[in-house]
Amino acid sequence: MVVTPVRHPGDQRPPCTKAFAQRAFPCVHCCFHVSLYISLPSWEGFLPPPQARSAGIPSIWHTMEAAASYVKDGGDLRDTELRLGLPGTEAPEKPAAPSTRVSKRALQEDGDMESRAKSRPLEADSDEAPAAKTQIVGWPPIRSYRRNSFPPRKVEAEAEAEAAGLYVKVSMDGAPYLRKIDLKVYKGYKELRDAMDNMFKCFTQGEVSRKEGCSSGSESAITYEDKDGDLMLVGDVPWEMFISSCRRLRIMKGCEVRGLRTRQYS
Amino acid sequence: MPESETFLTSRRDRNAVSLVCRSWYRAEAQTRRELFIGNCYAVSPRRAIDRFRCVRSLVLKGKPRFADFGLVPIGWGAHFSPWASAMAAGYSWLEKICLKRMSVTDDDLSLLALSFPFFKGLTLICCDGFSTAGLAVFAEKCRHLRLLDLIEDYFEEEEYEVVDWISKFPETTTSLETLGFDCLPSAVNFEALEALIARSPALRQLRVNHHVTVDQLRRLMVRAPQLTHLGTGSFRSPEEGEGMEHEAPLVSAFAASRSLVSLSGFREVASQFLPAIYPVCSNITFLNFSFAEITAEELKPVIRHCHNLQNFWVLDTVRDEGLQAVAATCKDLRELRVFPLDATEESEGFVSDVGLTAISEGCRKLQSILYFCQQMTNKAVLTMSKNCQELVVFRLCIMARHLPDHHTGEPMDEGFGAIVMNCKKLTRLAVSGLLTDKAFGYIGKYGKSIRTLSVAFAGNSDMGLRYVLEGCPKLQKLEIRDSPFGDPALLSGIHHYYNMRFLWMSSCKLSHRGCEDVAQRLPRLVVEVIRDRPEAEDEAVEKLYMYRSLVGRRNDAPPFVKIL
Repeated sequence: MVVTPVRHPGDQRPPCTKAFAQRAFPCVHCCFHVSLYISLPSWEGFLPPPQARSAGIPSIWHTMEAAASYVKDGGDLRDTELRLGLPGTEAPEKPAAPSTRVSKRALQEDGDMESRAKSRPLEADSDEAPAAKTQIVGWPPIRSYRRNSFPPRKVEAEAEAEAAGLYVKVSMDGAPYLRKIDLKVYKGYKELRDAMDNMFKCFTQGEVSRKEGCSSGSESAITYEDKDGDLMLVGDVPWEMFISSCRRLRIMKGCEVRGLRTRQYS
Repeated sequence: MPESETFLTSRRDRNAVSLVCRSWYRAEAQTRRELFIGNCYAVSPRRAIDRFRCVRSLVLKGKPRFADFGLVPIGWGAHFSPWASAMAAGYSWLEKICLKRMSVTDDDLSLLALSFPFFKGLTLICCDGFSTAGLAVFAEKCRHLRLLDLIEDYFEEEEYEVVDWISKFPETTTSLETLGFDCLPSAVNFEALEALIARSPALRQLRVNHHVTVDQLRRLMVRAPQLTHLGTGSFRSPEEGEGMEHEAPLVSAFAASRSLVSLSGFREVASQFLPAIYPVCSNITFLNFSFAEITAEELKPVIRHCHNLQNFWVLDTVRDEGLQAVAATCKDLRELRVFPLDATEESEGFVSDVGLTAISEGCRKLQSILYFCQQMTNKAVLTMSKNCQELVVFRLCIMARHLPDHHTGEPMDEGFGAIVMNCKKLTRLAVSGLLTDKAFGYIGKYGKSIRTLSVAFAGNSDMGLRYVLEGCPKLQKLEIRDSPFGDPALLSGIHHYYNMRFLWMSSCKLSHRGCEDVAQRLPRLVVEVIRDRPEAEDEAVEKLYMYRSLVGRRNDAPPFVKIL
């Protein structure tokens, strides 16, 4: 599968050749911050149902599949990981932060989980995966009783904004006008994808019919601009984290994406 | 037998007396009324009961403190059952039990209730293993119960398993003086609770959980105006818009509670109700706002009235500004605890050296402080060491590990050094931030009264631990994590381990060989190596817990514990 590099808007440097997956959450090569959070992406919400795929429906998902397999197949993301600690020290692998555990067995199970995590792969529990950074077990030294007493609460202003809806602009390359959608209305990536398909279906149909510039006009990607202004691929992070950082959405069409690629390899 | 024996209450004095001669030993044993066992594995239940036949009150502590932070795997031990069985068979006098960090089952509670007909008081702190079913049996069978206090215990029941235990108390007038269940995750039957309060004229302390709304609280307060200690539950009204009608009655409820000296709860406090407590503020000596997410602006009008406050627990949401307000008013403050709302290393720091300095300047009588922050300076710590000469407990937690002084970039050695140097009464110390062996040098040199020391992510080499083990003669409890101390350091404390209650070391540089060496040379010491992966036979020791004991190795150790 093709892995296409992404050029950041306004960026004059040659596009980074790192895989999509690494780029999708801030890449250390072209962005100046790194993510401490590495999750197994919940691709399920974004992959079309099998029948859709085989029917050749324009799918923006193939690139995402490729990226997913890149991550699973062993791109070593550890060099992009920022840890606290003295140089040369290895931070232990972290399970879900105790504070986000919903389970009532909040107590020593944390310690047990951490220790078990060392010997076998972390069972990614997407409900409880921390939106925060890596955590050391038992640090800071706060009893689980206290940690669990404070569910993540929103500050007043944020709460108001939430009540008002989370409207973001959606643009599609080649479409004459933009749309706006309320991200809060959707429960996950699948619903968002469906809604966006619906919204832009009139333009897509037009595109499919004139295929000269873009053969197999199926290549496009849904990207978004996050609060730092970076162009990110939709689907990598948990839904909650996505809607809290997404500022606008952009459907990049195959032409431009492939065009970049040809420029890079010529 | 000297008559004074019956009047000696301090266990240290009694211990000394018992060493004088055999007859004094026997006399002391027969007159000791309160038995304190700091480590349940240090002595067998049988032996304790045989020696002290007339004990009325027992305090028993189990798991090491780091269990609170998830460092001790489930199933490690500290089961109350053997104690319950031994006492049920041997004692009839037992009236009060206080357990901390023990595993207590419903059957244990049942056994207690059935075996001690005159049982008066049960306090469970950070315990687990029991449920509302056990509480129900307990409430029902202990007809003379005066005290039931559940403090930060862990419950694991499903919704459908919850039992209405409040309804099980005797239907006649009860002897209840203290009822605390603020840690209970499930709601209690409110009508039954209200009725219980109404028929408990001796009630002085009531701490309800977060399910109790502000209106329900008012109803309870009206039934018990004689309360001295009140845990206020959620302190909010479930219907947001209709809170107004609850305010005035709440104020009069507080105004009528002339005896209140302690307030806690405020679990989901709606700040509109805070003014209701103004009538009692000038009387209260203990205020626990550590679950209340309030700002400095919300705190100031309250704290302004609290002239007599001695113990104040608060969340860092009040910021340095809030602490400055505390410092301005609470001149009698003895204990301050500032907890973080967001206990992570990357959270925004709400309190800092500014708040610490303000407190040290305003509250000169401070004896105990627990302070969580994101950054600190040596200067602020030094200022506190000079201003607060009465300090007995100094626990500073700079949440970002290895963080130096954020003004000078230097390690926090000088600050903590100043604390041990200037605070002559210091017995408990917890350190954090970037610390070199130098800090431990200071502790070893000046910390002559230190009994409890907590160390995390600190030190450069074995010398750090050596300074402490060789320099602190009164050291009894030492807990260390993630610090580069190895076998030579461990061995340097051989002369002292019998004087200590326990030593905990996790994620340090210990090996099996070093621990076995200690185990061999000190036969009365139980050396436990807790392995995270039972099948691994690493030379490196991940977790070490060792303690003196009269009974040798325990027989209830789970597979992941290896006793050397």
